[in-house]
Amino acid sequence: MLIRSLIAVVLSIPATFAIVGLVLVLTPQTTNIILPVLLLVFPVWVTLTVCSYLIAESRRVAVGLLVIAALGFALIALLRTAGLAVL
Amino acid sequence: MNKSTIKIFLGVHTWTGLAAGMALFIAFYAGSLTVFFHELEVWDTYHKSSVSEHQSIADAQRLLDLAVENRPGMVSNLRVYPAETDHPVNVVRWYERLANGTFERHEFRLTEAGSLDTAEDNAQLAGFIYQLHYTAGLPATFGIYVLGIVSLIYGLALVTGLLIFLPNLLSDLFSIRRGKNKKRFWLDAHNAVGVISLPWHMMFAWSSVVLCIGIFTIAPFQLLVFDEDLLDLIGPELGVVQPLEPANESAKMLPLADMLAIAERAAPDFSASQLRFTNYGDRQATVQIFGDSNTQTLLTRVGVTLNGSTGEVLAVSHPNTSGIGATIYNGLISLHYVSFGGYLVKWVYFVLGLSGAFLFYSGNLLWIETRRKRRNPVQPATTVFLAKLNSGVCIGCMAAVSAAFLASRVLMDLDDRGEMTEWAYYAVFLLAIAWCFIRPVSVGTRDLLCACAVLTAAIPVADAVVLGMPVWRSVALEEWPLVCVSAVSLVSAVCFWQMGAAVQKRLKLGDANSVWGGSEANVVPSTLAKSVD
Repeated sequence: MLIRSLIAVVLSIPATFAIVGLVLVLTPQTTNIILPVLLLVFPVWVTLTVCSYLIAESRRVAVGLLVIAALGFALIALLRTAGLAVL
Repeated sequence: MNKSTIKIFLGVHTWTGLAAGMALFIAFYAGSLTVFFHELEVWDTYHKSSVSEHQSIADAQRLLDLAVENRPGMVSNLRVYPAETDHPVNVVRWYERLANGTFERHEFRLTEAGSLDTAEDNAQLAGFIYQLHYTAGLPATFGIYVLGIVSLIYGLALVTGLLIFLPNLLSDLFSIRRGKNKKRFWLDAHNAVGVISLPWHMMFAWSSVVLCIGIFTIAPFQLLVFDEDLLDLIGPELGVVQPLEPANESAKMLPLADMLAIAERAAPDFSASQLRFTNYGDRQATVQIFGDSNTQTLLTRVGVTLNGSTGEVLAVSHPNTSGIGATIYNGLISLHYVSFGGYLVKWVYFVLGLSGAFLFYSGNLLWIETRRKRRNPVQPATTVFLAKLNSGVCIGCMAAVSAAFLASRVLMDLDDRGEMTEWAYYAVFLLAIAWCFIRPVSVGTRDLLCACAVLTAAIPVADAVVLGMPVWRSVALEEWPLVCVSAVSLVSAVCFWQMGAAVQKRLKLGDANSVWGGSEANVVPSTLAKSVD
């Protein structure tokens, strides 16, 4: 339980920032919804952490969360580099 | 959801509850009292406010002029708090920036003779209880961050708790089964309180994370997403206005009465409670005026920013004109601070705060009951340790808060009353924990509950002896803060005594094979317990 919980709690953090960051990159600044999106960090982290316990194998959880984080960060970088970010 | 999944969530709910429970107990117990922050201030300063008349805005102007004359370096971080119903005296506060980057607080008041009083207010009880709420008694900044992380874990505990209870939600929600099985009773009570107040707890977990570690939850996005300063993007929406650059030319400031009149024209139905000055005495001085407006909604906070010399309105922040982001953020914060709804909602929050504290205490009791060895008088050391710590921290905190109330009243004429109040809290709190570890669990718990009852019952007695205000006189004079503190103290004292009697009853008549059996044997280490098993 200790290792599983550590994986769920800690690796959900970068995955959360990746997901919320992606939403922010795609959010037009003029819509004034930056602040509500920033407030989503807590619910997204709780959801990801709880959902990660639904997967039986700790290794799969770790890989899954790391893939979400890596994909999210890569997409953010790509959208910003390509000038497709709405910000 | 299958049984193995529920078992996993039960494991998560257990460790999150154990990790966060005691800090949350202190935060909720102190928080339920902090709901009445202003009323506590009135209770604490009763002997002073009773001799003062409500001061006018002209008095505030005289106070400000005298304070600035007394301390010429006082140009920024300067605040004026005009007199209001619950504090009839005008106050000027200056947060002097020291060389090491910290701030030193200076306070100024006007005496009844009209001269400047530079003595610090020695009534610190309400502030101390509030600090307990957001630090759980740990050193300030560290405590805030710890409570922020605790709030994250709290969110996880709430969701997993709901998921565990979901399959039996309808059948078990309103059934509290009292009987020989104490675990069933505590579980039913824990579930009922937890599920009924779940939305309120979710709001608290979320808003506490935002308030305690919000900066860490948004800082990564500065590097990840935004080119420009993130605070520049969201600041204006939250009513944050950058002060004007100083012109370095001295100019006469507008009178306070004129500034307030301009603010009231810019935001009708606005009642100012605070004026913040930056670069006071400069041609480009900035004044931020904050207060409340009766909007009949959750959001009441209004801010008007002026040029202090010319009176030009620089910005207005009003709930009726704020965007969706500010509405959601301020709504969440307003729900946390219960800055809406009047006294009825405050009392609801008070009860919910106490029931929240019960939730964390009963959660730990459940853990203890679940690991009870029913055929063995010697209980595992981990169970005994948690039972002692749970009683010491939770009941000790309640005894210590009562001791702080008592100290603040008895020592009300001392200059270092605030420090003495804090010392009283920490002394009783640490003694309570030590006592629980010296004595068997049930004996220690019973003693602490009796100490709670005595200390709490002594609060109205102290009002009567020290202030000459017994409860009936407070009622006759309609001094409601005194009446409420006395009434709540007496009811709480009776409850503490009853709980102490219940523990004593279980000690004498209950099953001996339990940490509550009172046997000295329950301090035996777990290795021995296993061998006896």
